[in-house]
Amino acid sequence: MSDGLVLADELGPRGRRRVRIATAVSLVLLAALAFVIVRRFQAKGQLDWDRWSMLFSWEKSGHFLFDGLLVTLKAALVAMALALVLGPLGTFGRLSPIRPVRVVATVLVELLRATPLVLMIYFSFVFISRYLFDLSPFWYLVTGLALYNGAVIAEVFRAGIAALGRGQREAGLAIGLSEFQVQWRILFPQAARNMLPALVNQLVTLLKDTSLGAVVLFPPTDDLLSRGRSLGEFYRNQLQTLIVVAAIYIVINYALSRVARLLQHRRRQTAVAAPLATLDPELAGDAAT
Amino acid sequence: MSVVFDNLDIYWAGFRTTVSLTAYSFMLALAIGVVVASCKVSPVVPLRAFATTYVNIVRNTPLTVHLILLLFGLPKLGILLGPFTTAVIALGIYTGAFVAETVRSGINTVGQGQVEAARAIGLPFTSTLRLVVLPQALRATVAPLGSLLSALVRNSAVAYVISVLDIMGRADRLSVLTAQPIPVLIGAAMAYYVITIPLAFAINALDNRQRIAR
Repeated sequence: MSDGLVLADELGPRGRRRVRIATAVSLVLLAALAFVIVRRFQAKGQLDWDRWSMLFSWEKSGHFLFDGLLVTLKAALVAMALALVLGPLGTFGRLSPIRPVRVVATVLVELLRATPLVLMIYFSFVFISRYLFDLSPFWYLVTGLALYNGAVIAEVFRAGIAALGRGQREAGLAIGLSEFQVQWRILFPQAARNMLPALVNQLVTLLKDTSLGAVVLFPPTDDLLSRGRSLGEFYRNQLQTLIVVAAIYIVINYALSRVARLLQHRRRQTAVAAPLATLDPELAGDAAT
Repeated sequence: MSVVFDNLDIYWAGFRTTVSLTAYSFMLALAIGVVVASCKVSPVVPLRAFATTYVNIVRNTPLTVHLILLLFGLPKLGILLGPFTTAVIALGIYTGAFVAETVRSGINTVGQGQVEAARAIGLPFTSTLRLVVLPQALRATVAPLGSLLSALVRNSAVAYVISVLDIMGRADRLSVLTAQPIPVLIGAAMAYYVITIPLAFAINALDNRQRIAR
């Protein structure tokens, strides 16, 4: 990763001494902070081994949490797959030459994006279970996630197409392709490839958002977070269990964001005159849930 | 929809809570974000490591987990706070990591040539930062920060799970009370749109202005 700007010249002896002093001072401060936190945990008995030991045993909690993790991953992947179908529909709708289609698609995408995800999941639950059919909580969660992320992905693709430059579309039309063929066979594949890192980052956001199923729905989805909560209630060590659950989320999401970063670097090296998308994929997940 | 219009006062109370929840946590997030971003660009290694760790840990944990962890964790450590304050802290910590990344990437958008020119005419580090880099970086940061604010408004709805009575929390109770969840929830969505849609327009306008300015 580039460290960005070099804001000062190579430091002289005085500057180097100042940095050394600042390093020492900051080390002391950070150590003091860590000490205060650890002391607090210890004073309240939260570091006692019998509150932690079962969390490191496969029989006592490992397999239970692992099954929850599988549900979390499944929810994220299914919702992502559905969103990847809905997203391009939204994009093509918004770029359609037919005005009513354009208006409807724009309004839908903007409204979906402006709605809190919690509300959307709650709403899919209420609406589907009342008027359509009874599904498992898993599918209510997936529906809400897919609708919201479909709208987000529609915008990601639109930004990707906008970043391609007009020449691509004009060349396509010039050789006699129809508007739809230009969108589907020329613009979309390039945008999709350019936006791959942004999509992987969106998957990270989505994976985090699956945890909403554990708190919004009733009964909750059987995912990592809700299994962690049951386990914490069972062993009466909620704090410790939740820390372990958080660590599991962190490891998986961190690995995924590394993949996104890797893809981005690869693309920068191989990008053949493709103008770089204006979106910074790390920030593209405008839904920072 | 009459159930919405009969209960406008309840929505209004929830709306005010959502606004203040968002405002307080955004201030906290800005403070955290600026401090962490400064650590990240500083030449002091432990501070840089601290900033990286903070961002990686906080950003990769679901907001729901932050909320529940603080809800259960703080009392066990002897820190007793109400649900509103707990939600402000959780939202602030979480959004702070994203603010830090935004500010840092804003600093990175300033061209290397700008800095080299500033150094060439003999400006010291602080003046380079204050007169050349930050004014340009902040301008590039406004629109992304706006998107973060909009995301924060929507994320603040999660606080209802720790029984904060914001728009979502009130709507949850109202839908149980009236047994008409669908209109009640549509009303809640409208209440959020009052904030998020004008915000989206403002962000777009800012974004376009800034693009032209370059």
